[in-house]
Amino acid sequence: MDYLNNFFLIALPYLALAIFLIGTIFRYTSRKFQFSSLSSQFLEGRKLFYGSVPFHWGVIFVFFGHLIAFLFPGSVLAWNSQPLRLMILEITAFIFGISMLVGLINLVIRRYTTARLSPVTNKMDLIVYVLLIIQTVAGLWIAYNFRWGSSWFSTLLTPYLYSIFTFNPDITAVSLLPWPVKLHIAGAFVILSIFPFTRLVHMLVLPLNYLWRPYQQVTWYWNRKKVRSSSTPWSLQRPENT
Amino acid sequence: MKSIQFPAIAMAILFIALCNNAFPQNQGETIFKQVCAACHTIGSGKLVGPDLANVHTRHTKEWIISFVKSSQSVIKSGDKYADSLFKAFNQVPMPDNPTLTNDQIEGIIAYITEKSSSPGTSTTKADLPPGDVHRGQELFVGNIRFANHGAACNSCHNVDMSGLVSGGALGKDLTQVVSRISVTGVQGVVAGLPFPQMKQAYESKPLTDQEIADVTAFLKEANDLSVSAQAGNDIGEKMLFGGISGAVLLLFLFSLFWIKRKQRTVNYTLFKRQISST
Repeated sequence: MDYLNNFFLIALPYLALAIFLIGTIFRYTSRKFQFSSLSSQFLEGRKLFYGSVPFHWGVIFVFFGHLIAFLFPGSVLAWNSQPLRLMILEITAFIFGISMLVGLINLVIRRYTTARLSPVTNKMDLIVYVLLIIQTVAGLWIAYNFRWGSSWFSTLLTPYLYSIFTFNPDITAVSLLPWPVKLHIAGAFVILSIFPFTRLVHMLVLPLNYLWRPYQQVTWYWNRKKVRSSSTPWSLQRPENT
Repeated sequence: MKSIQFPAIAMAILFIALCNNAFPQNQGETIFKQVCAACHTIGSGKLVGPDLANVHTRHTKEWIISFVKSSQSVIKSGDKYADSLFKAFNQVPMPDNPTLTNDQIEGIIAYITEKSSSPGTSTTKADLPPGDVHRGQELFVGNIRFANHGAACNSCHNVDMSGLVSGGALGKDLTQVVSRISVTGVQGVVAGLPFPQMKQAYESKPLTDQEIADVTAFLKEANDLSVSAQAGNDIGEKMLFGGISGAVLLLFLFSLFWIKRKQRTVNYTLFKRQISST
């Protein structure tokens, strides 16, 4: 058991961090145009809404929730010191977790039931979906069965993560946690390790300027009316707008 | 790979060296008080674990060394006595002490042997001030913060009591903890932090003597009340219902917020207009 704990809680994190750093830098410097989410919105948009929107809002809330507990554990404990505030935080996080799972399931169904998407779907997408589903279910399982995660994350997992990042790993307390929690920790590092080889890299190149840039106007150069009309064949030259 | 191996090996050597030097040999008393006293007495009765008076007459030295280093390994090896001990003490696993050397454990045994001849040696906090039940309850749920800013007990532990917010489910339910390990045992655990998770949470943010007394008083009250009535304030179902309802509401809000979104292909309206005009 000690060997498993040492592997999943010490070796795996360092391996994942190394692969993440080296892989991401390599891919960004050598294959910059692959740094994308490879959006398929042009191919299918209606089902995408009920997958992408709930998933992304869910994952953003949950991800930053974990990050805040890691960076400001004292503030989280201070917030949770009032039972009502603790409830609000936990139930809100649970809602966004469910939103994330619902969105993820919709995305998987969309991707594997829409024929137009199969040419732009690769094996890594399947691996990402499987890992994200395991990770989300484990997170919800923990939130439900091992309450109150936001508090004990700040007291148990934050010191563990600090110990990893300061190259002084201490798994004494973490190794005794229930296995779903350890699965969730290991799952996070596995996702980190495949990060550079998947469409997840789009997280690192968020097009934040989209939020305030003006709309792009798209106008057709062809004369669409004539193109659509059967009375005007245009096999040699497409009719253009004058 | 070498650059990764070197710091790992260096850290491992440093860690082992530090562990070996943490407790000088023949300081059984010091180690006992630091490591064992939170859960065990010598002749003052059971706490979290059994009374260790005359333990050297009940087991061989080798057995004690193995058990102290990893009690769960001994239990898993099929040792019936170790298993019965585990079950008799509420299946609370004794934390492993892999860094203690055989000499250090023999030092502890020597100290216990010496103290066993004058039984009644209390090893836990005996001079705590009287506890306040109400303040203990407020500390437990977090309405009053601990002086050193440690997490509220209900982060990990639940106490079933009418009108009390449901506590965490990571640690053991403490509703009847006083029946299980006695008031002295509770005080010993909170003060001595024998369990690694509690140690990590409170080692740098220890509870004051008054806080220990208050929390213990509250737990005793909860224990006494639980004998006559079960509050049953489990929040699990409410949380599940709230989570699913909230997620449905969230999906509805998404649909409402983006109601003007492009629901069809980009050129749908163009096609429609052109076809209708021909």
